[in-house]
Amino acid sequence: MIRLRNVVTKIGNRVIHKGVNITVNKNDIYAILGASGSGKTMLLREMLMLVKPASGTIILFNKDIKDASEDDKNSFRDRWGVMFQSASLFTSLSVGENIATPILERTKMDKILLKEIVMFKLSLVGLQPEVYNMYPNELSGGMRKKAALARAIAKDPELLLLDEPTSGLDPVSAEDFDNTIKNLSAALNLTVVMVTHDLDTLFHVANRACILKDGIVLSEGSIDEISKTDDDWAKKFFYGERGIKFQKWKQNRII
Amino acid sequence: MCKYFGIVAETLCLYDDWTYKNISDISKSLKSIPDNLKLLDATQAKDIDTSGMILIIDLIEHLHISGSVVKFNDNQKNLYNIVKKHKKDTQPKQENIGFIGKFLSNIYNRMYELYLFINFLGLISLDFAGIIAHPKKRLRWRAIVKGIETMGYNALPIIGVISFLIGAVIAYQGSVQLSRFGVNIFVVDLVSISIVRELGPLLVAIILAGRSASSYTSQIGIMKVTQEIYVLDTMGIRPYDILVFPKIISLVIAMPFLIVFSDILGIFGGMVVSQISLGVSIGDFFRRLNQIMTLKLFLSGIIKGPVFAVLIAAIGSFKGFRTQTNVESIGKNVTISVVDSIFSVIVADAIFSILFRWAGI
Ligand SMILES: Nc1ncnc2c1ncn2[C@@H]1O[C@H](COP(=O)(O)OP(=O)(O)OP(=O)(O)O)[C@@H](O)[C@H]1O
Ligand SMILES: [Mg+2]
Repeated sequence: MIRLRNVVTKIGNRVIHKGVNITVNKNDIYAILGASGSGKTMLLREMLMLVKPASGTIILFNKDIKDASEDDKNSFRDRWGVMFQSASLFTSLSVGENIATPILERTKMDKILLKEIVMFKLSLVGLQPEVYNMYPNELSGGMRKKAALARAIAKDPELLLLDEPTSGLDPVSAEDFDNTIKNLSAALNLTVVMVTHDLDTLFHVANRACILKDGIVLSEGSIDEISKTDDDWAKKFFYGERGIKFQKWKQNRII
Repeated sequence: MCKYFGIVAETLCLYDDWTYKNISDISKSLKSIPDNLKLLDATQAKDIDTSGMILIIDLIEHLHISGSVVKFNDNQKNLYNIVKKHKKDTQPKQENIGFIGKFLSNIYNRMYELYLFINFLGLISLDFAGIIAHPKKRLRWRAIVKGIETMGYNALPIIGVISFLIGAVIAYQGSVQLSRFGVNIFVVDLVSISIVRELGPLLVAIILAGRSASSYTSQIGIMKVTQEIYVLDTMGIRPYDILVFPKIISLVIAMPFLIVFSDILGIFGGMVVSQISLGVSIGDFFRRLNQIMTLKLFLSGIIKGPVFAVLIAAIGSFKGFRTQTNVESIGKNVTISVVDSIFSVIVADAIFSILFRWAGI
């Protein structure tokens, strides 16, 4: 679905990626891990064709984006849903209008049916129906995240790119999110790429992941494989105090 | 019937893509189906997304087909369960207040805005007293100097060019009439009095309304959207101290100088044109100028400066604080702030004219 080969990113003189290789297969739920500032968001931006890499190849939907025509690119944009780290809802539109925007950009639709679809997406991400008429500035941070997720899945895209979808959510909502993504991806054959720091999401939802550090991918593979990565940061991530606590808790729960 | 479904022996078979892109076509053609169907078969559909499933569930309810006689494959069944769980019936509601209602509520809103602005002026006057009491702690000299540079000094070129052109145009327009009566020298009166008294201050005020009021409004508006104003407040910094007073004070200081500058270039523009098209020599021009230019006349223009400055800076900041926390509202308020500050400057100018008349200046 997505392949990055030797992607190098520079901003000014600063090198952010020295050569990144990533492979996301169809139906993967793929997590990108890495410390703050390691360039995860930047990597997403490159996949989204918002930032051009200095060198390297990016292959989206089996097509090198260097060879893609404008029509191809538009069809890519049609097939993915995106949620940014800071939610980035349109502040001058109500939540309902925000979610309806991607749909109305592509097709005309009867008002009642459209509202029904939007309401369904709201409920799917765990928002109350009242939110439909509210404006982004009237929402809490977590509600904004949920609304942004609802907008990302408005068109039922085949590819979902999410930047820290569960950060800022309460644990219950985060778990709802995990389940929603899992169920949806099974029912709709979704491919999901997400940046996450959430161990819960990582272990329960993702099936593959990579660790980004110092501009390269340290390891890529199933969660089991990458949890064996021989690196300080990765060890702390999985087996540091938080990680240990989490794994203990997980074991207890299984028993 | 159509490519999305067909009816085979009381069974509604779904074909092709039941996805959001086709929904409106599908729902249109669905209106014509008979309602004596007993079975719905979705297994032949190529692709169904959540929007399509919503339509299918509506259809099932509409046709009173009970769930047991719907044929789904496993994936579709999963999707059906997800959608069924979250789907709610919705009625669209309409709000209509009509033309007169809108008109009245607009008037009310404008009056309320005026009331709030007067309130704001009162607040900053009170605060100003506090600042005078503790100038060391609360007066931000750096911001004031910066404001004088960006809003005053940087505006010199545009003010200079426009004043020069206006002075030239007035002299040129006047020259036709004056030369008919052979009183060419009065072009000096025409240009200098109109510029020094009215046009200089007004020009400067209008340019600053466009340049400064808009930038004040958008700056404060965006700080509100990004919640920077709250941050200032929690740090114990009064937002007005760094967002309003430096603007007002720097503009009050800069404006009189800008008016003098505009006067000089306006008269210079008039002088150039008088020499070219009326043959009034530079020497004659200055002698006549010296006769008519009294201190009173000069000051009657300058004195408007601080008043206009306060109006422009206060309206610009006030509109910034009035923005709602969305981006569209910033754009709207910037427009209103420019229009309102020009309007208020012209009203103030009219009041000055009346006052000067009374005072016999
Ligand atoms: N617009 C920009 N201009 C210059 N440098 C940038 C820009 N955006 C990001 N960077 C730099 O790129 C690096 C990677 O940033 P990025 O946002 O991708 O980090 P991240 O891995 O997403 O971190 P986090 O987990 O905190 O979101 C950082 O060092 C940052 O300073
Ligand atoms: Mg990031």
